[in-house]
Amino acid sequence: MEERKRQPLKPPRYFILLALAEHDSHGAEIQREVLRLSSGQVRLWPTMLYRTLEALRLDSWIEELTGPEDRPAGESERKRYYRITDQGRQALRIETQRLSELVEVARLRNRRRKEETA
Amino acid sequence: MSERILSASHRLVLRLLPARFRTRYAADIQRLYEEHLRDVARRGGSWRAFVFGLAGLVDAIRGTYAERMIAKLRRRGPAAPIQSSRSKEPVKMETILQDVRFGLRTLAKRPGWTAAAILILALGIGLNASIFSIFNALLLKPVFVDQPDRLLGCYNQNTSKPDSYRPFSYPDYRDLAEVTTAFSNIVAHNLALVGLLEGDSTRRVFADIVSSNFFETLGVPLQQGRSFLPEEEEPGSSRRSAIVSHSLWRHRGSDPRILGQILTINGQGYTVVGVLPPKFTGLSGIIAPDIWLPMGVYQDVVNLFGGTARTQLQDRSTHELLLVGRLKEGASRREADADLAGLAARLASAFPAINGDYTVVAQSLPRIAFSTSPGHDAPVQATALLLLSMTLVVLLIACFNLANMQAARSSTRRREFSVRVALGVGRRRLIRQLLTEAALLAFAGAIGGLLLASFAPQLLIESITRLMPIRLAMDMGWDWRVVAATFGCCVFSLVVFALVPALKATRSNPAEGLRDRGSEGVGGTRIPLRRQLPVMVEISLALMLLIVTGLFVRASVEASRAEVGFDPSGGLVANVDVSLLGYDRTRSGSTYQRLLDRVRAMPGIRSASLASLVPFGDIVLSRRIQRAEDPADAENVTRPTPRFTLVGADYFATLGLPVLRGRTFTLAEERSAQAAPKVIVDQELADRLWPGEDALGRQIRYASGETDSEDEMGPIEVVGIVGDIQDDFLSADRSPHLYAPFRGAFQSQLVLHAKVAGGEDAAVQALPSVREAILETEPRMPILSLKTFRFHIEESLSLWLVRAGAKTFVLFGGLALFLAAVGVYGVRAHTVAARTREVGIRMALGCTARGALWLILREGLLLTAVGSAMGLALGAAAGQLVSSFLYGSGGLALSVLFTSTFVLGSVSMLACYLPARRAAGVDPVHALRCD
Repeated sequence: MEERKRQPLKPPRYFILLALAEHDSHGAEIQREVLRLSSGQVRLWPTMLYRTLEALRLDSWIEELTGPEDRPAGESERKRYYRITDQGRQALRIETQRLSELVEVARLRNRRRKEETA
Repeated sequence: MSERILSASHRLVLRLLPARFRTRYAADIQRLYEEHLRDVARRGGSWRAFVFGLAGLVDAIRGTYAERMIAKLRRRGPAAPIQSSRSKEPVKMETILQDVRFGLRTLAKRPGWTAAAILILALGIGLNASIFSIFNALLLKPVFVDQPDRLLGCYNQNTSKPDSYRPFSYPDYRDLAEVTTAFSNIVAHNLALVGLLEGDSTRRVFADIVSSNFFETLGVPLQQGRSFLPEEEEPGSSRRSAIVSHSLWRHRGSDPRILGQILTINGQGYTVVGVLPPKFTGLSGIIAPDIWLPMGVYQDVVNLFGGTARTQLQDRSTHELLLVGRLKEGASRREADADLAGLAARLASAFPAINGDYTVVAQSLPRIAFSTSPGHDAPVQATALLLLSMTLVVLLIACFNLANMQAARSSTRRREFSVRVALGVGRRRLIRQLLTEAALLAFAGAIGGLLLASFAPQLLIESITRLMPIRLAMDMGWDWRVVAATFGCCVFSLVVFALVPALKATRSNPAEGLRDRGSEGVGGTRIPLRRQLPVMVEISLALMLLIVTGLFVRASVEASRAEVGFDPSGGLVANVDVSLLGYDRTRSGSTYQRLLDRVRAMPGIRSASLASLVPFGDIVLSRRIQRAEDPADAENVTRPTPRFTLVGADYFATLGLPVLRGRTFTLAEERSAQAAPKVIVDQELADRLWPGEDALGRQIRYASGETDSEDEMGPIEVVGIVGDIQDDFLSADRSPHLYAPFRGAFQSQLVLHAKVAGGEDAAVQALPSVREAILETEPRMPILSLKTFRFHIEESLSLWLVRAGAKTFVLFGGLALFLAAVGVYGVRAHTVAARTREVGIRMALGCTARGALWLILREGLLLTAVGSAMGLALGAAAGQLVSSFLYGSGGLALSVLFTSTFVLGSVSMLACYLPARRAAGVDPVHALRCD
């Protein structure tokens, strides 16, 4: 498990975790949120969306909310709500850390290159 | 429509998901997909939704496949690392690419074979795509209006005779439109041919005379200018405004300041108030009006072919309008019917004399006709089905051909397969490899087919527009339907020509395949007959097509030689229309009389006459009549509807139609309204009305509603009987004809007939002087056409249809024959090559070359014979089916059956003979040595 957590996360997984980081959500909303977060770059088609959700669930990174008290008042019972788990948050943190390190490296290199050419 | 199909397919795909995943998620996935589809359709239109839906479908297919793979791995036991397999999905893309690359290499290795295969497929698919795109334009493509499926035609149905319909009167239309509850709006319109002045010549174009709410109800926004105003709709309004089609606007140089310009239509100035958007071609799939006029000018422009007096639009008994309604949001067809029936009942009780027998029904709008009765698309649909099934047969032949070629090839590749199977490649992988190769071929063929379809139908349409004076609305361009149909053909051919051979080829036992030379030993190389079934089927299908082709060709030959019943040689016809100059009744009457006198006085003209219509013309009018002695309202009375023509004196002599008994019409009957009405019937009509009796001196009566003239209401005497005319090549039945004199009532558009002394050449030479004579009588007279009668028949639509049918089928039949010949040749060449060693041994043992030839040829003969027998049976059945469409062919012609079989048999035998001769000419030593 430790090994896998250090591997880069695929964009759909990362964005779904990111979408769930703030509050619980359901399929269509997650999809919209991912589209927004990625500025329209990551579109999760329906089958793909639910397959990824199922995979994340099997990894115990997210959980499905079953009790009626978990869903917001007035929401249909047909909708499946998901919540990020502690493990999921950890994975998200690790990936975010990795990405920010990557960004830092990229900036450094870019700056150095500029100085050299100047 | 496409959305419904897409979501159904999506649901179907999801059913293939592994049960565990499906029960958990399928409903959610489907719901999300449908929500999206609706959303995109609402915001981006149906095309965007289609593309979007397709992408979603691909996602579902990909996901389902992956889930199944995962489920399979899970079933295999705990050894398989389920968790990791999920994150590292089996990426198949690489293997697919590998297959594609390998396939391309294999195909490139045999460029000739590959090119032939692609060509065959492109022809087969292209033919299908071409025919389909024609019928797509005719029947399927929606007309460019907002939500075309919410538009319904309203029809005025006779309650006592449900098959009988009539148009609507303007007051009835107003009453219906004002109080309807099921329709948000009802529009009224009627088509007219009008004369449009361009430079010094008058061109005839279609105009649609419409109510003021027409464009708003159809949901067509004008590109420039405004729609018609309600005051322009008022009957008798003097406001002459016109809206022009986009193509007419372009035709006049796309002038940006066209609004406010004056168009001269039928001699009167109309102000252009609007220009329509490019895609809008009116309500029909065929006729594209160029000008739209408001209802207020109806009386000035409407055509009166029947010769009835100019009628008043505001009169409730003037039934001339067609109605189209737009259903209210949420209203159904049934509600519309109930609503209309209620309104019709109110009209009937308010005006029992006029509307007593009529009700109003709503039906879907026909695509290809403007008509007062519903359901005019059926014959075209039948023709479409016939043609499409024929083209599908051609594709089937092409596929069998490819299957043969493929089979021949895969038997030589058997060793390759065996090696690969022995090395552990799965059969599935092999099949996929073969299918990828085939898919590459099919794809290339489909592209070639689409290219073919992009110009072939246009050629056909151009050949028909040369005959017709009007612009056709048919847009042959590809749309998703054509692409989908082509794709369908592609998949169909893939399954037929690739899947079966692939399954068969890979079933081989590797050990046997690996053994050097395999079974190609001395004997036993004969390919069993059942394995040659594809070739036989191909032969039989080709023969069937040839027989149908033969029937069409024979019909067209017979039609061009047909006895028309009259003598067209030396005849001239001129189509003239003074109403296009805006003349009133009296003035046009006197103009026609002067014209007739002028032409009759010309040297070399034997006789001349006017008629309302011309045989083989584009327009046919009929009137329902009955015997005068039968009660007018009785049920079971013969009431034929003969073709009705108003004619002048000398008409029959000018046409060359023999008068069998009685007399012809006199000059008084031609010119004077005081002359008593009389009629002349042809033999066919006489036989239908009074079978076995003499019709001369008997009396007929027009059925109610057929005439408006007071003195034609009573019994009318038959004063003459003339010969029959065959003026329809599409049916073998003769239609009856009824002739009546003008009695001074010359209508606006007339046909001038003249007979020139000295035959056909003299007629051609007389054309310029007749034109001069017409223009001397009236310098601005619009001459819509002037030609010899023979040429007129040659150019007629019904002859064109028969000939175009013949040409199309010659193309199909020729293609089928060619494909079948190639197929037979390919298979025979392959079999013979496989038996070369056997032939060599036999010859070494003393068999003569002739014996060897016969040995090989015998199989080919059997093949051809069995195939031909099947083909004859198929062809006889198909021939029965099509002969009802055709002129003259009373059932199947033995000569056609015989000729077709002979042609196919000889071609097939030649294809067998060539490889057989090569085998028999082989040197035994060489044959024994060769591998």
